Amino acid sequence: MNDSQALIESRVFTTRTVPLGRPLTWLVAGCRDFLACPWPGLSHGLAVALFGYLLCWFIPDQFWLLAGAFSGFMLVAPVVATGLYATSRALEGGARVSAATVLRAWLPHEKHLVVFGLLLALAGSGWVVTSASLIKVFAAAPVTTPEDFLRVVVLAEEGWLFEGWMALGGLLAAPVFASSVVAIPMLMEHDISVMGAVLTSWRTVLDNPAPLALWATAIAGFTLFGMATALVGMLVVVPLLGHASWHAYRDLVPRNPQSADARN
Amino acid sequence: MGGITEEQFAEFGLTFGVAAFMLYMFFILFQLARESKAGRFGTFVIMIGLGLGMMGYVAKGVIKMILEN
Repeated sequence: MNDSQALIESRVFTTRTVPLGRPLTWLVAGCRDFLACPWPGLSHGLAVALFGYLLCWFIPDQFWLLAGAFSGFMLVAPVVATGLYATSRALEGGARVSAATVLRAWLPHEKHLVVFGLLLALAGSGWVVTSASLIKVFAAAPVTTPEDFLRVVVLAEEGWLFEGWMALGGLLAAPVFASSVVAIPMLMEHDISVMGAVLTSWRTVLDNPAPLALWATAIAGFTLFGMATALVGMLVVVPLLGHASWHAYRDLVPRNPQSADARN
Repeated sequence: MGGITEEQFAEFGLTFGVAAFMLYMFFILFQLARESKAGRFGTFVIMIGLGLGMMGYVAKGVIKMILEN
């Protein structure tokens, strides 16, 4: 059977196997980038927090629906962090980071990023519906406010609704995470098709199932913390995870001398 | 018994007992996945699902502890 064009594109790039504890190294590197140039990270974190408050303002007293929207944010976050990948890339090249560095990553000619972002948004919407149904059906009382969610779902005396909600979210998010873990930085850096980037992403997951499961769990943990602090923690969580994701990409898909298509 | 009530003892046993049971379950599933019963992607999916489920359990305990104090 002939290999598809996307697989041929993907195989130009080698993928690396890393030890289980490597996500910690990515986080440390992400933290270093954030401290070296804090304003892009803080502005991204602030934008995410403000968007969350805007959602609460537009859809008040419907937390059974918002719980899915907030957690589903993790699925579209790789696209949201594009400006942070550009920042980390500039920092590793010793370049000066300006507003143009961040904004250039969002230029309309990056149509592959737009296509991928729309696909992730579709997956996120699927989770919002699933989460809302789960909470509506299994919660012992109506969940209209964050306090209700805490009382009726998280701290429910009987049953395992919160653990089940988290585990189901993990199972459904696994294929999306596998498709996106290195795809967005690849699309940003190389002239590769969406399918080629997704296949490379899957290859890194198949080479590193345990470290990347740990990485996905760490992302969920940090995001949960950011949400538990009434979104204030997002000011730090978004840049930390965004920059760290760039380092994960750089580590899992090393620079390849064969691929001379890297964008400036 | 050492200043610990029966209720506190039961709660301690339940909290740590369930946590130990979940870790044991994680170990069994990891072993099964390692022996290629689930394949590499299966391992990844199982670990994310269980990892998040366990994180939910731990978060629940931490939130309860914070609220009680």
